[in-house]
Amino acid sequence: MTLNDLDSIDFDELESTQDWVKMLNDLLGLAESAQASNKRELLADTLDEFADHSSSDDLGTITKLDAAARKAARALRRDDIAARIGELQAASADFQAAVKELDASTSGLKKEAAKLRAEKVTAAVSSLTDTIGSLKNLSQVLETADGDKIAAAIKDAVQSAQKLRTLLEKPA
Amino acid sequence: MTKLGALALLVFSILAAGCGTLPDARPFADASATLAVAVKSSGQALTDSLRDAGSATPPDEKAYEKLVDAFDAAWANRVKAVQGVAAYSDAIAEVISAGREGEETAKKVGDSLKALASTVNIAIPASAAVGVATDAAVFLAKQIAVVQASRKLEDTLAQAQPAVERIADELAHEAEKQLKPSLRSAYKNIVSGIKSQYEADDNFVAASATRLLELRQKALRDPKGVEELGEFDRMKASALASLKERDQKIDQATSAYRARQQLVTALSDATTTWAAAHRDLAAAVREKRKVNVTELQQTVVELRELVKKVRAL
Repeated sequence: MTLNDLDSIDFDELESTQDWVKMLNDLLGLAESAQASNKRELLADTLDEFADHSSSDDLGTITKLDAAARKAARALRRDDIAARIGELQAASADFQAAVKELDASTSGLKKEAAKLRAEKVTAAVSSLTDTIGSLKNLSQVLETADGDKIAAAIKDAVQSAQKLRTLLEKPA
Repeated sequence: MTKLGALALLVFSILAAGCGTLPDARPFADASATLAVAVKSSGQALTDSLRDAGSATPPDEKAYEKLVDAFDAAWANRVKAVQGVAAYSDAIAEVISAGREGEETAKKVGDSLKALASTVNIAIPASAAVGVATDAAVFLAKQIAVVQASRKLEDTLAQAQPAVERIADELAHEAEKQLKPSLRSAYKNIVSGIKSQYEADDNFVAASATRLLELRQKALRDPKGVEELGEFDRMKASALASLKERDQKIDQATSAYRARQQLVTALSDATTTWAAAHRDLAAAVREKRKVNVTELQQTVVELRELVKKVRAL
């Protein structure tokens, strides 16, 4: 993104929290190149618009992103260069902290999901082992002519189940 | 009266009308002095108003103090300029009152113009330095030379007019270039600061539509959901009340901002009106008639009204 793209931003296109994170990251990245006062004003207005339009179910994260955006907007409108740079750095640090927290909670959710998946696989493996055992027992007690066919079918089923269990047991 | 006597009286009357008397320029000087006072009090009203606005967003109060200081400094330049306008007007009134013409008078008017230009931060160059001077400075240097070369008072004042108008333009341009952007930035930061304080409520309300639909469906299926829906509705009502408070603060900030902008525009207009009054003065000297400063006086009255408005907000 460049400063020339600011006029054409359509905030309504952004949906997920990640979309908003990426947009704010791009906008903050332009602060350094916005030196002329008209460019600074345009970027500041866009950052305020970001906060006006942003929306997410993750209220904590989106509110932190908005706060960082507005802090940067106000900093860009300062005439005092030293104050401006200091406040922009603070806004950027707030943004990084919000993203870090978001990453940590996303990674936590991923771990939770992986744990749940592992538990289900273990349960499936255990269930398959039981099934295999039962089928083997059944094939040993079949004595009729059809029993041979059934035993063969059971053998195939056992082999398929064993193959599936092997696959499930392989580490991801 | 004999026919000869009547003719002599007629000739005398025509001659007297032709020579006429120079107008009293004191009303022009007085109105200019009143304008300077009004500009000074306007600046105080503006800085006070900005300081009040800054206090609406405590985390940014320090930054506003700096901004108010910068605005104060910019305004001090304007006060200096308008005091220069008053001093110039006073000097011109003295020149007209003295009723003299010639080199000395032309020099006095030229020097007064130079002094006025310097209060607007336009350094009139010596001819050798013309190359590094601004366009305005070069223009004024040439015009002042024309003024100083004139010998009749009415010509002196007429030649001073383009210089006076250029200086008035510079003042108006400076207001557009420096003061108005400064006020605009302050206003936008005030609104941004106010919105920041209500961001959590705003985001809650924005995200509530989907959640509200889910809770309503749940309440239709299960009566236990009704309580949860009621609680959610209360939370939303509280957030909406908070946002109403935010919007009132923003409306107030917007009204104050508009009044400040109006005041700065009125001050630029007042400078232009002063230049027009100067044109009328030059014409009055040429036509030997009374000076009309009604518009300039009216402008000062309007300025005072605007100052009251800014203070009231």
